[in-house]
Parts: sequence; structure tokens; C-alpha cells
Amino acid sequence: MSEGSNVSLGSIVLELLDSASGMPLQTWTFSEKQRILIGRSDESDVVIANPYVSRSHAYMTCDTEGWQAVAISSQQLVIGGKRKQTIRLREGDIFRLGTRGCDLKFREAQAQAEPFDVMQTLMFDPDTGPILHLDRDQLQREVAEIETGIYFQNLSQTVKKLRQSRGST
Amino acid sequence: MAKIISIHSFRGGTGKSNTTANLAALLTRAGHRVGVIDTDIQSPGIHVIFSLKPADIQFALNDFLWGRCPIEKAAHDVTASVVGRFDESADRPRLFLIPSSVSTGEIARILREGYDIGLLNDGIHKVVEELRLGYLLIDTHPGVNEETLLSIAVSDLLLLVMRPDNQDFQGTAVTVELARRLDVQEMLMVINKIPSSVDRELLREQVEGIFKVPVLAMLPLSSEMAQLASSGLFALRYPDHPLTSELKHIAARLMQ
Repeated sequence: MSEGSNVSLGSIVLELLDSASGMPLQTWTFSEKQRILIGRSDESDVVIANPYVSRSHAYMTCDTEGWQAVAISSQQLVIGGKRKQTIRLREGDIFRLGTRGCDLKFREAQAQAEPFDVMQTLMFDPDTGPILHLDRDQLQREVAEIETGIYFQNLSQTVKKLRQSRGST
Repeated sequence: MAKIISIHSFRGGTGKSNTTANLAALLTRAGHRVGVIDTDIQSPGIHVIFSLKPADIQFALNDFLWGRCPIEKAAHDVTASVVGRFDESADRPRLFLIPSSVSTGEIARILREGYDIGLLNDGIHKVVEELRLGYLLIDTHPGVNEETLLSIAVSDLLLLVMRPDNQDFQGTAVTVELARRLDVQEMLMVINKIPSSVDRELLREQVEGIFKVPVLAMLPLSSEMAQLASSGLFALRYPDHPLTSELKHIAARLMQ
């Protein structure tokens, strides 16, 4: 996206950890992504279904010094027991989304690992593009219901008169 | 003659008010006299983006609808929020906001008693005349109700904001059909909050193919916008962001 940027993004892995066992419950892998949005909202890149996590809780971004996590939510981020607005991430860092949210572990994918196609990993949910569907029967029903109402018919008449008067001034 | 533009979305959360506010800011900065009217009486909010505090609102749209004041009394000059310091003796640029009341009592009264929709129509035309506006942007209530239909009907241009989402898609189709029956002169579509993984051209093709309405802009889902929420004007805060250049593209089209 940003032209002229020389930052090498590489691949990173985020793991959602089970609070009791510390074992990964879910893993996200990102490759060559400039900005990763973390939150409860479906529009996030990392969607966390946890009521203590804000809809847009934080984002991760990469600059010449590496990756950092930046809080959007006032709940902030917690690392080493301290609340932080921004965390400079190092390999293996575990940070929490707010004081009561869940833990995420940051890993940089190993350089010597075989190049992999993110489209083929199990955890990656590829967006196959818009699959918008229009129910035409429903549309006709709804439009007919409004259109035959007295309010709509009066409005149509009034608007016609209004247009004429506006046009003539 | 002034151009009246309604900005509507079928569902909430599409970024309608933010889009409206940013377009108003860009039109004002292009040197025009611009008005924004918040007809989202049930859930007002656009005043926040222009940093207008509820305490500074002496008269709102509600007061006009109850006959407590003429509409122009409810117009607040918010020019400074988009151009910074400006020459107050000059005629333009100017940006006026007619907010809806945030008082829960006022909102409840509207819901309970309703109001004369004809008054809103008079108010829209009066405010254009009295404030000598070049552009009036109407921030509508989501869904299809009386004030939405009225706003659409009196507009020269209807700007529909939707997300690439099935529920938005179905609802927007209803609005498009009704607007056609009301002979709205021009309709344009803005698709907002598009995830980076979506095939934009395919999306454009689908939307234009089904709605027969040109897609004017496709705005990316932006974490900066999410971060800013409604606390400021994106186009001014991030003047070089790709989202801002799309917003400028819309503003340029409105000024044609």
C-alpha cells in the first residue's frame, strides 16, 4: 500500500492462548501484511470473541524497527503486568488485550521455514470476495408494501408539486 | 441553485455520518457555503465529529419542529472546526450544522408524538434560502421511515452508503427502488469498510449490475478511521491517506 516503504514485513504468527494451560487455542498467520486489526468486530483481521475485548481493540504494524502493537481501546494492552498503549514486540512476547481480556503470543515465522502458501493453511480463512445475494421476491414484497401505503402516495404527489414550484423559481 | 444531497444507509454502522461530515468539510474547504442537517432525530451524532458540544446547542432541529424557533436559529456555525481560523467578515467558506437534540426527553417526545413531516420539508428549503447555501447535506436516519423518504424525495442527489454485506445489500435495494419511484434525479453508491481481501472490481460489478446505480467510491476498511472513531475529521487528520483521496473524489463529483 505505502509506496517507497523499504520495510520487509515477512510473516508473523499470532497465537490465542488458553488462559489456564497457556496452550494455543487458535493461530493466525500473516504474510506481507502492513497492518493487522485485532478486536471483537467481524471486520478485524484477528477476531476475538471475548466480551472483555473491544470491537476494535488494537492493531499491529511494522516499521524499520520491527513489529509493534498499538492499543485503540481505552482498555489498552498489558504486558509484564503493566498497561501499555504501545508495545514493541519481540519473538515470543505474550500480551493481553486489556486487563481482563485474553492473551496473544507473537512469533515471527522462522526464516528457514519452507515458504508456504497462506491460502493453504488451515487457520487462514480466505475471503473469496463478495458473495452478495439479492432476494428479489423479498425486495418486491417490501417495496410494494411501502409503495401502496397512503404516506408514500401522498409524498409522491407532494414531491411532484414541489419539484414544479422549485423548477419555476 | 443549491444542491441538496441526502446521505443514507439502510443499516447503522456503515460510516454514513462520518462520510457526510468529511464531505461537508471538503466542500467547505473548497470555498462553498455548506449546510449539514442531522435528520437522524432518534440517534443523533454528527455534531460530535464537528466538536459541537451539547451545552453549546441552544436550539436544535427538534425546537424548530416544535415551533420554538425558526430553522436558521438552529443552525450552528462550525466553520472553524474544518478550516481553523477564518475571516468572519468574508461570505465564504461557511459550514453550518443543524443538529438534532441529544436530550433523551426530546428524542422520546419525537418517538411518542411524531411531528409534522411537512415542517421538515419547509425547514429544508428555508435553511437553504436563509443561509444562502451552495450545498445542503442531509444525514438521514438508517432504514426507511418518513423523514428518510422525505429527505430522499427533496434531494437532487442521493448518496447511498453500504458495506459489502448481504443485509446491507438487501436493504439498500429497497431504498433504491423507492427512490426511483420518487423520481430522484441522481443516485450514487459508496461502498464503505471494504476488507483488503475483497476483490474490489468483482464487488463493483455485482453492485452496479444489480442496482443499476454507479458506484462512485469504494472505501477501504481503515484502522486509522476505526481509531479516530467519531472524534474528528478523517480527511483533515490524514490528508494523504488513500481513504481521503477517495473522499476527495466523491466531493469533486458532488461539485460537478
